[in-house]
Amino acid sequence: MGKILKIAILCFAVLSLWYSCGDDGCVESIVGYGVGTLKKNTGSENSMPSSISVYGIGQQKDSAMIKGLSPSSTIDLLLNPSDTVTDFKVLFVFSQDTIIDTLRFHYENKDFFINIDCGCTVYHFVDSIEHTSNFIKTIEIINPEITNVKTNNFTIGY
Amino acid sequence: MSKRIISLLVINILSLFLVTLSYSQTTRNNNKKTLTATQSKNERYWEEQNKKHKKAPKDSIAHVYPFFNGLRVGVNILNPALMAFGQDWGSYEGVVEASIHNRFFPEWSFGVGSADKTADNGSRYIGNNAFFNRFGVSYNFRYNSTLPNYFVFSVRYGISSYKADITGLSFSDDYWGSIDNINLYNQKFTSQWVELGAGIRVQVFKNIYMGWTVYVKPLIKSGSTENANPYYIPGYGTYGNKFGVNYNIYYQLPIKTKKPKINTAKSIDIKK
Repeated sequence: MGKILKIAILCFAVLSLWYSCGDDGCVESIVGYGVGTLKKNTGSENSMPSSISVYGIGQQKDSAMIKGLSPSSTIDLLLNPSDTVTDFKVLFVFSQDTIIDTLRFHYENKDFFINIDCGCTVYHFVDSIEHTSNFIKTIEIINPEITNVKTNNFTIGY
Repeated sequence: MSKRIISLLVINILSLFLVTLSYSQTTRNNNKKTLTATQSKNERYWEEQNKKHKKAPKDSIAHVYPFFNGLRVGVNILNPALMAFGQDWGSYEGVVEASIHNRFFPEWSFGVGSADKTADNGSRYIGNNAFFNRFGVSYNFRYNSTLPNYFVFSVRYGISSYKADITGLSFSDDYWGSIDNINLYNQKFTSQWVELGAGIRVQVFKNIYMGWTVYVKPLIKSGSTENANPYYIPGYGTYGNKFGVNYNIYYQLPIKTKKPKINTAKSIDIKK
């Protein structure tokens, strides 16, 4: 009987300590990014740009969302939570010149209450992505669900 | 920070358990040394009986108390007290439990819970009154003790279906700006969980028992909808809080049961 009691107390203690290893307050990101990566298509003669900048079209301050990003990094795009279409101007910067393409995301929004500390976020479900083809050749949607958990959502082929 | 305090509290309670356990074992050892002549005779009597009959009445030795050892009804007094002191969620709950050999206590607890929480940012979560049920069993480690005190380990399963309105939410990002006054009405949740607990119960008056239990509560199913996580789960507590404490008061129903077999042994001895 003593052994059972000790084992029970030990299990309870371990579980208690395990469950107590949390944090208070909001630890989750409430903003969801559409995450893209740049990929060279097979047979393409295009060279990799030295950096990438992105502007959200229609943003009031007309400021850059991303500036001077290394092309090997992920491209994290914030979709407009008040709209179901967001346009981005993407600048591919080379040593000699800059090529500009436009991306258009069509999506649905869904409000999601995370918790009382973090409040609300907006999830997006991407229907399609249109693009101009000055530098970009293809866009493949990998995961259409854009939530506050970062995953690769699309691939830009050049 | 608060979780650290809870963690420390749990560790302290467990320490208390261990100290009490050590104390009870020491007391038991001391008691062994000071067995009365009658008790020794009883033990010798049963040992002889065991030797005589290979099919000795092991059950009668293993379980001093009868199979059905009574029925108790109880209420949780902690939650109403915390609500009276301003906690913005909580429940009113009752419990019915049977005593099997004073060792196993199968139980059914049930109640109604609600929440009305307004956050600092102005958002409000209103969880309507909803019922919950818990089924489980407690194991009393001192099942053969003649003292009316119990150390129990409990396992319970809980389920609750409930609705909530979440209003006054806002969302903002630094780039596109903010959206205000998002309302999520009539969110329907169904949550399931398991409670693993340890606690004590003591008799305070005749047929009246009080006791607390500390729980860890893994969620089996949070019940999150497409639009929301719950804030408060009736019968469980706040979503994300994996600890719980119950403080119950019980009344032992005056149902006649067989007498504990320790008395039978004595009577046999006396007759002898």
